[in-house]
Amino acid sequence: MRPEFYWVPLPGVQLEDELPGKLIVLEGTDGVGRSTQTRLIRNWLESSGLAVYDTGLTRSNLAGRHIQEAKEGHTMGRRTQCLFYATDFADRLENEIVPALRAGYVVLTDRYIYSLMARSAVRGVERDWLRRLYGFALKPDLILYLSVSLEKLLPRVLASGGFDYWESGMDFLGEEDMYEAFVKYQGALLREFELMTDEYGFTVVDANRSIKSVFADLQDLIQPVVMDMIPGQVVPTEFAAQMLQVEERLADRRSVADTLRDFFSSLLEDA
Amino acid sequence: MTQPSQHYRGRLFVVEGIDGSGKSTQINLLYKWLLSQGYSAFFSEWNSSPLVKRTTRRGKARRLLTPLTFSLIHATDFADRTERNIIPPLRAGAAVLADRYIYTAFARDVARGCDPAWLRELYSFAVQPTVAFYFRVPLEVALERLLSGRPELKWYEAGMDLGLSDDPEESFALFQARILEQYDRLAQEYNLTVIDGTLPIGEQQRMVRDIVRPHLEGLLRRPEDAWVTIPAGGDF
Repeated sequence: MRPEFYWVPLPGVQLEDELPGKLIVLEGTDGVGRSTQTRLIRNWLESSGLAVYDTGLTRSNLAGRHIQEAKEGHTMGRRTQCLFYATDFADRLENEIVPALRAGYVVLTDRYIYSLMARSAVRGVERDWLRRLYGFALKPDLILYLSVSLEKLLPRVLASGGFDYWESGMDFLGEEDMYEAFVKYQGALLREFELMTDEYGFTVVDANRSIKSVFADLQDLIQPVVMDMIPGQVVPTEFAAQMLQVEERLADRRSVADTLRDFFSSLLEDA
Repeated sequence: MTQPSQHYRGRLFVVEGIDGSGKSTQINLLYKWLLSQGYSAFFSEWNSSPLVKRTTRRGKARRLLTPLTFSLIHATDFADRTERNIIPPLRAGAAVLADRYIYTAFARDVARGCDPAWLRELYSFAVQPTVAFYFRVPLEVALERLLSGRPELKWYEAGMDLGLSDDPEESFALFQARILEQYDRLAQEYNLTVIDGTLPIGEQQRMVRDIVRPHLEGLLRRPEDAWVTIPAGGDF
């Protein structure tokens, strides 16, 4: 990819004119199926011979864990919270995404600045300010926006364990009823994403459909972007369901590894 | 800045300058004077929420911070301070004092390579001070004051992350020189009230009080029998 920024370059980071990797973003509201699709895409690209680096929000080395704690205690003001997330994103961009792009990975990120901006905007932070704050973000090669209607979202959220405090905007809406809060909050988020669609050039994918058909569309959209990395090798595949099973086994193993890593880093922290 | 302090009943006084400029001494004297005059004065310290503080500490201790994340984590801290520690007392009508303000970030982060226009946007939520003092001292004076008594310079404080020099003292001097250059520009851009930091302490304080005095009319008065906590000097 040719590295371009929305507004300002990363301070003190010298970038080559051309980076061998690609940056692909999966965006969409909570419960739309981003993580499932991320897993499927990863497997598909890896089986085609491409190295994939997948990353999500609030996992950085610097602030990731503290953000989880902040959520549990919800003690921060809206702008403070917004800047805390921005710090975390910057850390991931500089220490994970850029190095992976330099090393020739397909970087697949489960959400990017757009979710962060949407969340803050619905909490009352000015949209213009948010756009300039995130002016240091690298422009992705492809932004896939999984679009879903609120009616389709509800049963999915119920199926995956019910309403979450933050995903319902309970921290600021002042609603007694979590269902009401969820509908209001997710509706507001969807409107923010709609506002950004043209401005940022989202490629909209209708996610009101089965995992398999969404995945098929995503493959068609991703293929032209990664084609020049290994010509002729990446072709859409129909074995989505099969790969989902394989991936579930891998995900179990990965969660064990994550737990161990967290345990050891907590020991380091205490020491 | 989007929020002029005229929107609030209170008044905001801030001090700026490089390390060793004597600004903390001056603001402490100003604070005590305001209290002795019966005003409700509030000293806004950088005591941010424990989470932000822990992240900052962790980032500094492990040297995880880049110019961008250094800038953002301090902006987070500043937002926290604004939301909890500056706006509420201003709304109540108090005199709010701050040891270092956004100009510190402008000077220091630009010295680290951040974009000046981006920084100004980043901090556009800050309340505009009633008076912003800039205590100007030549670099040699500041270095002499600091390095004579100080045991060890911290990594980021000395600007070691910029690779200017392997020697902490030399790196510190080079970094402070860059910051000083930025402050001089900011003094013009923002019309900071410049005080000659080489003058005797008492004389500087007399000037500070003369400048502050006209802004005190109508400020909240302190109850006669109220207890006052005198804070230690702030750190940005």
